[in-house]
Amino acid sequence: MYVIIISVLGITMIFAAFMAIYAKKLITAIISLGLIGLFASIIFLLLAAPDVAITEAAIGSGLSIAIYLFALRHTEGQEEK
Amino acid sequence: MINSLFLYSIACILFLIGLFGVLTRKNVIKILVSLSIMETAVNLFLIIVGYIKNGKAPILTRWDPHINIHTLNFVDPLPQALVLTAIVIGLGTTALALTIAIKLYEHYGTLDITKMGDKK
Amino acid sequence: MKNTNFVTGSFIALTLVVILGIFFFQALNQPAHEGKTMPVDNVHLEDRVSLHYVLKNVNEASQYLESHGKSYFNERDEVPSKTIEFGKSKNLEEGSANEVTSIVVNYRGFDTLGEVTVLFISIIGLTLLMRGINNKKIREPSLILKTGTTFLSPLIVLFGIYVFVHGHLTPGGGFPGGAIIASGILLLIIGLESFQFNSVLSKSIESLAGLAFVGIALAGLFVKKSFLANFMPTGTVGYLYSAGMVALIYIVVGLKVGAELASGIAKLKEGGKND
Repeated sequence: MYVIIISVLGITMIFAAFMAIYAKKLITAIISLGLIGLFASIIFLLLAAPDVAITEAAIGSGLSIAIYLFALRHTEGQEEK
Repeated sequence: MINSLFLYSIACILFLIGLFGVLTRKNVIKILVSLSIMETAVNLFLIIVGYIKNGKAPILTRWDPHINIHTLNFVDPLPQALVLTAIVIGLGTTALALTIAIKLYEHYGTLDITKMGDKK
Repeated sequence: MKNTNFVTGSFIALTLVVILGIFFFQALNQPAHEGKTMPVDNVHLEDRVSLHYVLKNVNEASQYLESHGKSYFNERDEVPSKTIEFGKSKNLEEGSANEVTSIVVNYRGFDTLGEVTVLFISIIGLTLLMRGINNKKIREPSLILKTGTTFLSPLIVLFGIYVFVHGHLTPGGGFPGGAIIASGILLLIIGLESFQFNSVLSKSIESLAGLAFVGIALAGLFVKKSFLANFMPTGTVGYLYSAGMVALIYIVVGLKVGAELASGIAKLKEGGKND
């Protein structure tokens, strides 16, 4: 059971990483980064590391996305060409 | 149970994708996103190093109250302690790097690193 | 011209990444030699240095080594160890039920002091660099967000305080607790327009917490002749009043990390005009 969950999460993380790099809009890249952080926290939980899972869930998918979005607002949403 | 080789592969592939992004992207914020992907991959790698087959979370509870040298069933807590602090430090350094990116935008009017330096 | 340069650069980067990937997977697939390969499967806690942290017998183990004139263990069973029971074992050298906490705060406490300092310096740099950058208005929050914020953010902050006060018993501790408090304040910052972040208060909490950390460490130096030594009774494993200074340091670290991250986020959102 764990094998299936971790396989799905890992492969989704790899796709999200590709999306974060190749996305045209910066906001897509940032949301993909949040997805990677969220799935990483679930994998940490399944690997018996609850302390790290709590930290990663609060920071990787919450605070870090917020600071990226604030920075994006200060740079007026520059798009990558 | 979980095959460690597969888990290591996920972490390594994520690290390589992040490295490729850092090397090839032109937008500063894209580079920082790639750096964050690399950071997550390294944290994942360290946690997998500490994982032990059929291990439990390293916390004594009321439902699992005994621990001695013959009944060890914990995963390795040392990499977890390392990663716990590394994540928070990573947020601080990412915030600092984003501030530098904002300053670069204020100064050059663009986030594209190939166009920086053309204009004063 | 620039475009061809970019394509060539991408190609070189791809080659580099592929070569590095071949090295990674070759290292992963190597047959197991002693100490020469990556730990793929068949790992036991007995082989790791964390064994003595988990069994809470670091002092006994080092005394054993000294008395036998050795520098390493041949067999782990030689080490004197006893069973640790939740709710019964008393006066161990380290009394927290959460092993990660005992490593972060007690056995490797000096690392934590350094890491808190790194976070402090990065937030100082952020505050300095954000001077002279204007605030940009965001869209006015909707009624649902406003109502939800007033209801939820005190609960989130309270949960963060719970997490760092119980850091030696349950998963969590100062770093996750501080991050949760900061996310509660983030909700206030984006959800309530009338909310003014009090930077003087956050700075004083941060400085006092940092001073308290160093103060506790120096108290260990004076009482036990060692920096960051646990000078308080460790009590019974599993009780709230146990683990001596571990709980105190995690409360201090939680307040410090929460105040620092919250002030960094507020600075990133509002710009540094008022400093």
